[in-house]
Amino acid sequence: MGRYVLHHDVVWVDRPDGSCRLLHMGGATYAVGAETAVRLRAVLAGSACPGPADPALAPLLRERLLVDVERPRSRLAAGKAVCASALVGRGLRFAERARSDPAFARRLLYAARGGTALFGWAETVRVWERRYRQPPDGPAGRSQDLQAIDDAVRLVAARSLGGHECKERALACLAVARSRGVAAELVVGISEPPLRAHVWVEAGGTILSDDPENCGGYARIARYTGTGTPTPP
Amino acid sequence: MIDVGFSVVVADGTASLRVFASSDELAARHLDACDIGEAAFVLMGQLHYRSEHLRWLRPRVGAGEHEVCRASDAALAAYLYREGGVTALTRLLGDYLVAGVDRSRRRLLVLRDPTGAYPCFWASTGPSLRVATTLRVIGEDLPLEVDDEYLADYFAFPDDSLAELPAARTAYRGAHRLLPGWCLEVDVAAGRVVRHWSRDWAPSAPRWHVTSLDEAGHLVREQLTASVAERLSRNGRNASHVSGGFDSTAVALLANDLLLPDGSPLEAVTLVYEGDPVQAGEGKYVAAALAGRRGIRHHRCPADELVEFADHDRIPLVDEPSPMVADFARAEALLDAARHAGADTVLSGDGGDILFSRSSASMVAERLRRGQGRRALELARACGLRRSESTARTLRRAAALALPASARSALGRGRRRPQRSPAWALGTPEWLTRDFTESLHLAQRARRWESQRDEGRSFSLAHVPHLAGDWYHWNLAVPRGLAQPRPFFDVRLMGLVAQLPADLGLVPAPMKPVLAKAMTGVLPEPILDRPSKPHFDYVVSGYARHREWLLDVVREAPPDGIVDRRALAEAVERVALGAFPSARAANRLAMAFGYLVWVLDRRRWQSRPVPYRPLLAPTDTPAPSRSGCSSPTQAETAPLGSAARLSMKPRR
Repeated sequence: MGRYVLHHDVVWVDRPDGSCRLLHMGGATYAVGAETAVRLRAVLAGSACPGPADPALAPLLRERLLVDVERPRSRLAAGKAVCASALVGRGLRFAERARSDPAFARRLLYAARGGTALFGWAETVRVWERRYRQPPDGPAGRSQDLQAIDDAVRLVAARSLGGHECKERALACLAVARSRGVAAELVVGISEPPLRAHVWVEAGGTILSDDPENCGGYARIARYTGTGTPTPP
Repeated sequence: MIDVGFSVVVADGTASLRVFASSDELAARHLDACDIGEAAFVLMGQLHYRSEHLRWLRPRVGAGEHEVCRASDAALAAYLYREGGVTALTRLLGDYLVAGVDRSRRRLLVLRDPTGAYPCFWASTGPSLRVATTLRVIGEDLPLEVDDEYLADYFAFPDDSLAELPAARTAYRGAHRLLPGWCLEVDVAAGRVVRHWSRDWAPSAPRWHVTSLDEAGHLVREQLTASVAERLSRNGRNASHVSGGFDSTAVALLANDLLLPDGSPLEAVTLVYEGDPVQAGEGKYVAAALAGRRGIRHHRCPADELVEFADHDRIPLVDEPSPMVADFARAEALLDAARHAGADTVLSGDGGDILFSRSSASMVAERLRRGQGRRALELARACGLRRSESTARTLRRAAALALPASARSALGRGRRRPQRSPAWALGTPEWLTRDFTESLHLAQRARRWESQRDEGRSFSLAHVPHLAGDWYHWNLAVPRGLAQPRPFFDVRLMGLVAQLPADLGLVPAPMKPVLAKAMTGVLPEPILDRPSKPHFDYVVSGYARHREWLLDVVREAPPDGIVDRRALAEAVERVALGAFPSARAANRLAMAFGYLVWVLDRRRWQSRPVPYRPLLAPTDTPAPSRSGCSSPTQAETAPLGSAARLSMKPRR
């Protein structure tokens, strides 16, 4: 391994023509041409070492897709993580005080909305997964229980004027499922061209937070299994 | 469309009809001519609902004449004109272009069907007037200078499925388009146009008063079935595209039901994309549609390589620029598969979305327009649940759509926040030079086109002009001796759908509630219950696969001050990497390449010979009776050759 590594929130997606996509879960998505992708692989493997002004890789460093392991984490990033933990965590604790399932789901949706809007997807998921840990391996949730979770969250999301989309629905479903002892994972999928990303929850092979037909058009590229960072599908 | 067609030249008090076709078979397939003495007609295409006209003619014509009308569309048009005048002609339904010369009144009449199944152009150059199915023939008499005003309208047009602009202006100065549904009347003696009008074809559609979804479904089913029936091959050689979606599958299965009693097979052609997981998933819907069906022969065509700009070295030579050149290989593969299977008619499912599909925002906007705020909110919520959409976003969009189109346009102009993607801005994309966009006011033209379309409303007859023409039919099907009719664009069906109450079927599911009701019992449940069809953007990967060729085209682009070559090349690189906001934005590039390919091919197009040929020889027409139909090569006309002059002297 070389001096530079991919940011822990970045997912590398190969394309048939040799180019690749770098999806920064805390930011945007970047298209990398085939030549640059080859160079980038060499850099990550340690067999090449770019200078900071390398025209091909400087933008990747600037956008924090690549991280220089010899440089300390920026204070801004550290501060953002602390704030996210505090504020989003407070939102989740407020949500847990709800007296009914619909109210719980509604508060979770708004906590997700606020978290992703203020701190981005990656930080919000980290807070979420610290709060709602993956239950240890056990029997999969019963299908009617899973259906109930899915129905409850999607109904509340549809009735809300909070502009909830796939991210918020998925986070809410994840929280409800794990808080009831059901092992569930966030799944990130993409389709292209053009690049579109989608998020949903899977529990025991069942898709929650969206219609399975809507998810079928996306290739799975990452899962959140409880560590707070994306892992290969 | 140089391979087959006709022209009429009016000069020196005469009207000369010429036909051209690269083979006898092509001429026989697409052209029909008839001379009844008082008048002579030529028709390209096919008439529909003929039995109604034949019934009307029966008491008015002799038995022999009636028999001729049963066999010939041109004869039917000629006798209808003789007995009912222009009014009777304007009631013709079908996919056709018809031209007729009235010897006694010394008039040339040209009529085009309401959806423009065949193109028609005309130009007057002082001493002569020419009408033709291709600008190539118009160019024999008129110096072809490109019209920048046309190009400005072309680049500003918002729809990248453009066969022809819904405008009388053409790509060349002085050449005019006969718009779909329009008629042209020429004084042959004077050699000038005396009338040019849009006929009101809406009365061809009956009046309906529909109050329920069940009733609407029943009527649509009846009319769509009739529409398919009218478009089946007269030789029993039918094919249909089947994609697994609502529209094409509905047409195919209705056709199958109609053909079964005769035992005629239907060739069902499916393009198969195994490399794309989204499209590969469509296979199960195709299987569900065809399961257990008798009389269908299924043909699967591998299509993974048929992305945009595939086979770019064989792009057809065309009269006007069109973005459809990008996708021709896919349509061609489908038509070739149908032809190899023995079909001469390939039914298309085009148009179902336009007539029946409504976005969540459009449906909610309908409720808002009616002052039904609470019901609008309920509908937005129901769509949010069923279609997994953001309710708030739907309501915002609906609020904008509920405004009149002019108000939306004005709001857009007053918006201070810049467009999210200015590089792809409609009307002013970055690959057009600033001089061109500003001097020709492209932004204003784009707004005008958008306001005419008014996407926020359900289908109405006002949408029909924007459906003009069928590029794949003209440039791919016709040269192959095929017809590719579109049953959803049947005038009566469009008239029916346009009359359905706008608030009928405002439900989040199924996708197209009226069509779903109509097709219950025909389409299998998996298709009827689909919440949505996935995006079909796989073909945009053609920009990556054919990037080198596209960049070559940009390099060869003429310095005409229209295209900014550097910006266009950069746009290609971005799209090749997949970095563009939406497929619609990427398809704007197809407008640019449609133009460049047209410009680069113009010389070849202009030098391509027009395959003029004699009209049908006398032995190919029924033996003339006293007032029967005869070939224009009778004694009182000019000799046989590549032209048959239709004398203005009345037949003795």
